[in-house]
Amino acid sequence: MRTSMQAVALWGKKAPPHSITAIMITEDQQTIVTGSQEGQLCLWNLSPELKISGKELIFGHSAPVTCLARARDFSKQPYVVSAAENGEMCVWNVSNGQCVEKATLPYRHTEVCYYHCSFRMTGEGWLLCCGEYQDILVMDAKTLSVIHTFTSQSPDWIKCMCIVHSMRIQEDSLLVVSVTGELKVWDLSSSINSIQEKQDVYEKESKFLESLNCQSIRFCTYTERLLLVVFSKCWKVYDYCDFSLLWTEVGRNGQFFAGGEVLAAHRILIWMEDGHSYIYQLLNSGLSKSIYPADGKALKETIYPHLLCSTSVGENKSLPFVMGYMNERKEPFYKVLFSGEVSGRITLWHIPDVPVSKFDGSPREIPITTTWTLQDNFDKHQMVSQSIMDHFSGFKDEAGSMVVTSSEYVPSLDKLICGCENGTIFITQALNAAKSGLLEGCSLLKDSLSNKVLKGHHQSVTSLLYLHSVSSKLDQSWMVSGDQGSCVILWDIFTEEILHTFSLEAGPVTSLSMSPENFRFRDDQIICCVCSDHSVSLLHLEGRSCLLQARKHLFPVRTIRWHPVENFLIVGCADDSVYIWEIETGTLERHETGERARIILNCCEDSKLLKLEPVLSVTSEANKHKSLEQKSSSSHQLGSVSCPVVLQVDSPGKVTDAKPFPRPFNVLPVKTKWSSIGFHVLLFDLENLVELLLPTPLSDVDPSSSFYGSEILRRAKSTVEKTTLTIKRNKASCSSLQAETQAKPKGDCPPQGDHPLKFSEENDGIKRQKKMKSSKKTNPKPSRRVDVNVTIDTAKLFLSCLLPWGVDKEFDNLCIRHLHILKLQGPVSVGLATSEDYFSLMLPGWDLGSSEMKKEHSRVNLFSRKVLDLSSKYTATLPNQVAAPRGWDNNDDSLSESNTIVYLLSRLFLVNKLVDMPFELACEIDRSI
Amino acid sequence: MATAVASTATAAERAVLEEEFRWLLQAEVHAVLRQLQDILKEASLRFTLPGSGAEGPAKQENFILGSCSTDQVKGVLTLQGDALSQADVNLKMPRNNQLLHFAFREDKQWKLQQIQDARNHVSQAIYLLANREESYQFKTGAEVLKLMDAVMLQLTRARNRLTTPATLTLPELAASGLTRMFAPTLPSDLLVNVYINLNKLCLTVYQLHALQPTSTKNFRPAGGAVLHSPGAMFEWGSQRLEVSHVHKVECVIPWLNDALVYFTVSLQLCQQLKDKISVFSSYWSYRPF
Repeated sequence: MRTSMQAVALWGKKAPPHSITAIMITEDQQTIVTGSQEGQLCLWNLSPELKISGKELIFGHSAPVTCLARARDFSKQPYVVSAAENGEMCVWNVSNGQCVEKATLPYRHTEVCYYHCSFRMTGEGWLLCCGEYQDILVMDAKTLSVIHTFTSQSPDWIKCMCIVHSMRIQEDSLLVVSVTGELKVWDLSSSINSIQEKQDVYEKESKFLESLNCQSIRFCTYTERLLLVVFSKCWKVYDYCDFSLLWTEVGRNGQFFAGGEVLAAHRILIWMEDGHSYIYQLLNSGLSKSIYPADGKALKETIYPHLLCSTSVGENKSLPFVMGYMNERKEPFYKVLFSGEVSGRITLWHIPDVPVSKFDGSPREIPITTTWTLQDNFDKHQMVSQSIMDHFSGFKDEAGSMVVTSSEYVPSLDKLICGCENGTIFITQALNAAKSGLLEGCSLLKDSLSNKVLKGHHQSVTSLLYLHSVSSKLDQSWMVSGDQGSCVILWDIFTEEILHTFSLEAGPVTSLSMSPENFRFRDDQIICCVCSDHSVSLLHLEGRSCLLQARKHLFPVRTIRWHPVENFLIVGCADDSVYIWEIETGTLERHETGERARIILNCCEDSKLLKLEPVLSVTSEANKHKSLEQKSSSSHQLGSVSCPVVLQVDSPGKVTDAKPFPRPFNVLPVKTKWSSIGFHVLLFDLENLVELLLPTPLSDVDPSSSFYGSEILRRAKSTVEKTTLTIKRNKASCSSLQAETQAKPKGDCPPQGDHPLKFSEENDGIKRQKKMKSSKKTNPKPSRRVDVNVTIDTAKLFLSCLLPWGVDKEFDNLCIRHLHILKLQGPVSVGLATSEDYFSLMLPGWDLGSSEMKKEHSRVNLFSRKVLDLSSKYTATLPNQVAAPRGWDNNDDSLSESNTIVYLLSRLFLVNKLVDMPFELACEIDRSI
Repeated sequence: MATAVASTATAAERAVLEEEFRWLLQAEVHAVLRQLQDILKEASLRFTLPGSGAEGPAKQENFILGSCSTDQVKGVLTLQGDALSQADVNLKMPRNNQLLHFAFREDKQWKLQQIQDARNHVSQAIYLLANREESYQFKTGAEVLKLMDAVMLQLTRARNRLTTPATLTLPELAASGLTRMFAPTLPSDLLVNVYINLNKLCLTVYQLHALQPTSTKNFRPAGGAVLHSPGAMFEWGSQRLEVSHVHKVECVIPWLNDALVYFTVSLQLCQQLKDKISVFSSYWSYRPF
């Protein structure tokens, strides 16, 4: 995603599901980080009073998150690393939710430990990883590249590990337990050099612990003697000196241990899979080894546990819990036990410094300190639903708001098509709908002509496909929709007529797609409809007929390929088998599994088929976004992964003229896995907005800078390296502005060397032209021009979202009255795009209860402060203009209004670029100036 | 048309469906899970886990590898759990009919990573199922779907590990620890690879010859492959080498066949359970958690 892309989330009443699979608290005890089965990460504020509040949801991983760990010395950089089921790894800056580094490797990690040894190591340190591969992987914490491995004599998967810093022997060791229950010890600090030189480092010691499914291993730093190893069925205490077994505690039937920590000397905390936890005091039984020397036959156990306290969650249990414990000895930090549930609930217990049992010796129950879910955030802070559908007054049923089960945005018409649970389909102007959700005094006009209701389905609409955006050859009015009862309807969306109804008599329709450009049946492209009973139907729209129903698939359909020459439909299933259907006769030609199936699929990939995400053909940015949730996670070495069962269909490409028009505004429907809760994200392309608006206010624009010209440049420029480009661009836009706007205050534009810049621009232009000639990229330009009014409206909505409402009353009024920028209904949930297709969305209530310190870190706030700054400067100059000719009559008004908006936007764009500019580049520019 | 699950269903129909769904969550899911566990336990018995059983070290199995076409290579491999503990390879040189014999060093074992991974994935799947005992109440369909997805992921990976041998390049093969396992050491013009393909234990022996620096042949290093064909070239050390002969022998491991069948059956069971749950999807999915 380009950095000029700004996102705004329209949350509904319901929070998106967040099934916690990993949880951690940062060292400063201000943020809780959770990873979910859906793939999203969530950052939660933790107040000094131990109150939780959701802050932002990060969309990055496309598979379940398996583990989280800190990735730097936290006092210097607040970085956290996350790993996902499909081998993705990301380093996040948890203070603002930005992705710092990412990598996808064919390894699935289950635990990551950060290790840094300042006096022996250069760089940012290591991430020691273990998981579904042999031995320990050493990764560079900064670049996320594999440095080397710690190898062992009998390699196997490692279940868990811990790093032991022993003061006594001045050596760090790495303790791991393998899946077979073998404990292995490596020297860590003394093998740094050998690892960096890629020499093999073997374990120093190893021992079979005779239990399976190790859950965690912890070293007691207080006594430097005890080692706690928690297995799923029992936990054991070992003597670190000789690894002799001191105590085994077997769990009750049906209970599984999930982990443990050492609280203090001889005091341990054990937690279970079901969310209970127990604090034990380890008492000395008096049978010390010095009295009864171990004769090798029977080891004398010298300690036994005494239960002091316990904690439990309430009734709402949903397995499994992921828990952790944070032991901070520094004031004012707390000792906190925390747990995350599949239901998305976080629970905290404040563990007293000295846990004691009741007077009668029975264990004391430690009460829950706080508990919170994402839904709580929504209930508390989301007074007004911003969801697009909730503002269709008159269309609400008795139960309250309508549940949208599928939606699609049509950029060329700026229409949002929403299919609902009760079978109706709404078509609305996306911009208006978004405005009504966000802004004050801007409800959707009930009798607005742009709203259409299509009634034809009797069950919830599960998928939609607007045909013209997939293939421009098809009628602009055609749309197909599929429902829960496997009924597919072809609509004319302009006349609201049903053109044809296909009753497939299969399961609910899960996806609709179209055959590629090069695949034709009687000169027409055909619709491919996948149902949840794993059947595939081919529909011929022009002939109003169903060509083929392929029903033999045992597993969900994963890929659809077309063979134009032989007229075959190739269906790839989740179990890696392939079915080949002959379209003409409707017979199953072949069924293959294993290696042969893979070859067939690969072959078809080569046959010049464009691979695309399903029914989406909005801008490429949006496509990338779509892939957030749609990306099928296949890690190369581990074979294909079926977890996020996602259909990946080769649909017709946006070939030649279907090339989507770059839009300043886009609506992205986001759906979460395993649930129907969805929401929409508005995407504003700031760069594009500025570009579109700049030439319009002036009638006598130089043709070279006219819209189409800049469009060509833009295309070509995207091939040039990005960073250098952005600077030039914003400077260019800035200088052109200088000429245009009179109201511009002289001082606030950074002084710039115009000559060298212009020169480089020209240079670039020549280069670009050359490039254009050499690569025959003669895309026919789309003939549509963006409606200026729509663009201005988009700009206004965008400014509404960003302006600092309520800070300066006078300014607010000015905006509302003269610029017709409407006030927000409530705080808006801004999204922050990080690298490419990762972005974080603020949750409702993110702004409340935030401390000042955070404000400094959060870039969103920084951003709007800049706006504030600029706008105050603007207001300072505005009276002059007003005092000049009384020219606020209608024509002039709208002109100056758009002028001002353009001006504000371009300032925003400039600020955005400046803030985003990498540090080195900024320095470079300083020097050049 | 199947309007049964429609939102337009009558109240009575809804009640019946709800009752049915409750039965599915409370009784049927557990029945399927138990069945799955039984199958997977049976599968995991095939992969004997060292250190787990009281029976002591895993038993040794000998496999005689041959091929129907030629008898130039014969191998006897001894499998002990997930490790190759012994190997005897006889190679008849095609040119001079000289017989070469080499075997594993006594003190070393070679872990077959594919078997190890498959075994570990199965035990992960069993573990996932184990903590949802009879007493556990599934409350939503989504919960079951998530569990099934996780189990299927493990099973698919287990199966894929066996069905997809690693594609190695020739230099990777030359650098692999397997070549160092032999006593006397492998001659420099031989490369050996051992892997699992479906239910078969495969041994490939590559005979190499050095390419002369003056050779007019166009040097193109070969990429990664499971089985390289004669003529594949690579650079090793400072030398350019070319594969002159490839000998592949294999032998079916019966218990791997069983395991693969178990994987397939349990994957189908999982999918069927998912399908049953999703029939009711229009009900549970719009309920709060």
